[in-house]
Amino acid sequence: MSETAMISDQQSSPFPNAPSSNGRGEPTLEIRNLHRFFGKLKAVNNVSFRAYAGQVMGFIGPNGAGKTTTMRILATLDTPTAGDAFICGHSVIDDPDKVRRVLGFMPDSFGRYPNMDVVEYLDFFARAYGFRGAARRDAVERVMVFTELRKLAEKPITSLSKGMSQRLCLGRTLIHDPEVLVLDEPAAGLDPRARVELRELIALLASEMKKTVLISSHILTELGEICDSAAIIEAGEILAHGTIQEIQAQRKRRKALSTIAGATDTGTGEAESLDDEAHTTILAARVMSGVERLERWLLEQPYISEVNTGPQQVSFTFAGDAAAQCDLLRRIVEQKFELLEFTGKTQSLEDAFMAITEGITQ
Amino acid sequence: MSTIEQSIDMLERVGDHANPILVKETRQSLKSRQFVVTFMLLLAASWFIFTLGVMLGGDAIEFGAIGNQFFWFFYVILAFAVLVLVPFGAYRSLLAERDQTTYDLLSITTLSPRQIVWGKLLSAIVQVLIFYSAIAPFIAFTSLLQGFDFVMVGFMLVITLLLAMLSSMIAIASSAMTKHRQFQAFTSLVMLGMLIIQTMFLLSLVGSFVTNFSLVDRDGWWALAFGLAIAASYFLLFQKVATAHLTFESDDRTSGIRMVFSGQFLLLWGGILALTWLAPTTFRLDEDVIIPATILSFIHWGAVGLFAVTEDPYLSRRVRRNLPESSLRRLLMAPFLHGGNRGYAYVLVHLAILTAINVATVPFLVSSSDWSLDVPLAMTCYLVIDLGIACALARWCLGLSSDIRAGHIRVLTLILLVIGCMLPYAPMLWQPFYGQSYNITMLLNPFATFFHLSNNGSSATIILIVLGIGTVFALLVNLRAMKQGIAEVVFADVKPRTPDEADAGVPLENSAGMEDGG
Ligand SMILES: Nc1ncnc2c1ncn2[C@@H]1O[C@H](COP(=O)(O)OP(=O)(O)O)[C@@H](O)[C@H]1O
Ligand SMILES: [Mg+2]
Repeated sequence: MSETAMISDQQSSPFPNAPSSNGRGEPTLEIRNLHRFFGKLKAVNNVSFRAYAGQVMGFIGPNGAGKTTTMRILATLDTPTAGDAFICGHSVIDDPDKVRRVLGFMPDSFGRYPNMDVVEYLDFFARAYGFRGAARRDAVERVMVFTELRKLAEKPITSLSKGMSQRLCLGRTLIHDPEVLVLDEPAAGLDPRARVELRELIALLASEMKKTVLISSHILTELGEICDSAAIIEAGEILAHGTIQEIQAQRKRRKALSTIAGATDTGTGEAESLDDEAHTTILAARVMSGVERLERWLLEQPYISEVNTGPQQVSFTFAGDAAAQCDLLRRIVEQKFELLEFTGKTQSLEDAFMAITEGITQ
Repeated sequence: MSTIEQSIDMLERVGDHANPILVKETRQSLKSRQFVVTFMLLLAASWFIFTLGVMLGGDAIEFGAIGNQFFWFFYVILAFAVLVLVPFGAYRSLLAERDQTTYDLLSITTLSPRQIVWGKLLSAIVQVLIFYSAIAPFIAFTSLLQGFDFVMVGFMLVITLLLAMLSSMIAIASSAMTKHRQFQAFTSLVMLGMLIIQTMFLLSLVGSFVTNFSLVDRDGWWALAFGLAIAASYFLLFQKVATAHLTFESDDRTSGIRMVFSGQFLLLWGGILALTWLAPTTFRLDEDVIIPATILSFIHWGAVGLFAVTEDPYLSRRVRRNLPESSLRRLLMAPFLHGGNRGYAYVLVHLAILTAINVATVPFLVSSSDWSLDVPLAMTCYLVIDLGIACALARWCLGLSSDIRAGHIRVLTLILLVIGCMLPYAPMLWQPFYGQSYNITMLLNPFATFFHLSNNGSSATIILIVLGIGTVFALLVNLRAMKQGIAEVVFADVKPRTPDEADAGVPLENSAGMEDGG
């Protein structure tokens, strides 16, 4: 699902002014300059981003960042103070009824009815979405098969486990087969097993059924593995959005002036640096002693930026390719640093998030 | 296919087109312990009365005409169930949807707000019918007794069903309006108390009506029809209010309510005319009818106006986009659409109709000794002035900050009115006998002026001239805004918005909220 999408996204036009569509067609979810104020509080402040069919987009931010507020506006449960959002091209302000037909929203609360069993619950929502007769029974059946709730059909919903409840919620969200899914903290409070199962369902929805999924969380590890892109929100403002690579690229550009970089100081810098981002890794070296000397030395080397030190450890962002990394390691050894360990990993969503939100008090 | 299969199939098909909420709630209530307990209690109470009645009744059971007394006992129990418990259940049911956050889920389905309201109401009606069926055997028993009046019992049960529908609709509208969760326990108690008081009142009303009503009295039937029409108009009003509160913000939430208010006004006067024509022996177009109806109309438009003229002027794109093509129809529709400026025009139109009615009828009243045209004219002037002030205040203040809401303007207007009423009496503080006779400062107090005028007080002409000048002034202050408000509707040209139009450069549509940010 994500591999090709990620690669094609790297040739995108400059971010953030014109996020790319890359042949994915029109965005199925588009937020434009969205504002939502509660009195003086700017819960959502000029938020804009897009998502496309088949994409799972993480919507990440700490508690109180404005995720739920944004999602409620998308779901036509609230109206923005200013700006607009479009689901499959329909404005959430002007055409809420059309939006409701193509959007599935899963709020952060369950929405439990007493005295009702699983099949009645789904049947009710199928009716509420206007399904009649055989179409209704088919819709309920389809959802029960997808979420594997068949065997629990006659169980009262108040007796379901958290994981099963969440499946039922997802099932209810899918009952009218929406194009776009907006899921507010779906993984919150799930045990690891239920979380993996939920993740599998979501991945299936995006890859097989070509749904657009916007999924929020304040816990990064929940999203890291399922999202191919993300929007990072903090205090109502989007700090970065796009594929993980795009987010890094944006961060690079912001810091371009302050970084000491070897590769981007030439005239061809822009194109090259975009290319380099494919290889951006975080490397860490553990040493017996001489942390400061290693830090100073590293800062003089090409492709290196954002050097951080800890006791016995130096980590840094490395923008060179494999050969360059090999060369760097050889030279560190040659310099006789007392190296214990040298590790590297491709930058994850979590790293990107930490880097983006660094210095901002949460 | 067997008959059973056929009937199940038919039920399915009926259920398919039934309101989804009705289906859901009927299923739920059959499983709900609360419902079953209520049902059992009702049965137990009926049994209790039955045995007690049979024991105490003794010989009278066979020989006395106690059928109706017996029925009354059952009826009181039934009335309590269907006029208190059912509406209260309807009130709680919508609140519970909000509490359990199922309301959000419901409102993003393709169910319309009207379907939601009707679903809740139909569920209430089904419960009423179930309670009726619980009590039916006992009523069947009393029908064996002497003195039991079939027609009257049937009549009462029908009226009670209608009253239960009206109370349930009021309860649903109230819960749709309850936004603040923290007061829910309190408002629930208030609701319950009000329902109990209302039921006691209705019981006495039904009782007195039943004793006085005679089935052969033709005028009585007309009066009943008129009463039912008024009740139906309130049913419709509360349905519109409930629907409006559940309707998405950018939709038209105003015109339905305003139409009902117009309808009620027309119903009142149309009903009076119809009654004088249809039941001439009881109703005559005399001052006993005209004066109360006029005063009622003024109260009606004063209250409606206070709400209508203080609305924020913003008319959503969605509403403007869905206007009819023809300019004439738009012009006719404009006063009914959201916005204080249009609201002022809306009230003015109806006050003009009311004045016309008064001009046409008052001179022909048989004994118009203490009710001349001066009084309704003065009332109209006061309403135009006060509502004009409210409208202008709303226009000036609502834009200042998003913290100022229409409710504040309404309260402010009422405070100004009270201050105006009290100001002329300020000299009483040092002059104890001041204010015993009317003087010109008392123009500030509409009520004193009404009494003065309706007692054929002096200098009526001057009073009317001063009020007339004030009226013209109030109209002038609001004229431009009204014109704009109407023109906005008549000349609206709005196309569906596409993502490309919503770019940063395009002025923000709903700017009212933006101002507090800047
Ligand atoms: N209805 C509301 N009234 C006032 N403030 C609100 C309301 N809803 C949310 N907020 C505030 O808006 C901010 C964003 O909230 P929310 O969108 O729920 O954050 P998140 O979902 O990212 O945790 C919070 O500070 C919250 O207190
Ligand atoms: Mg939240």
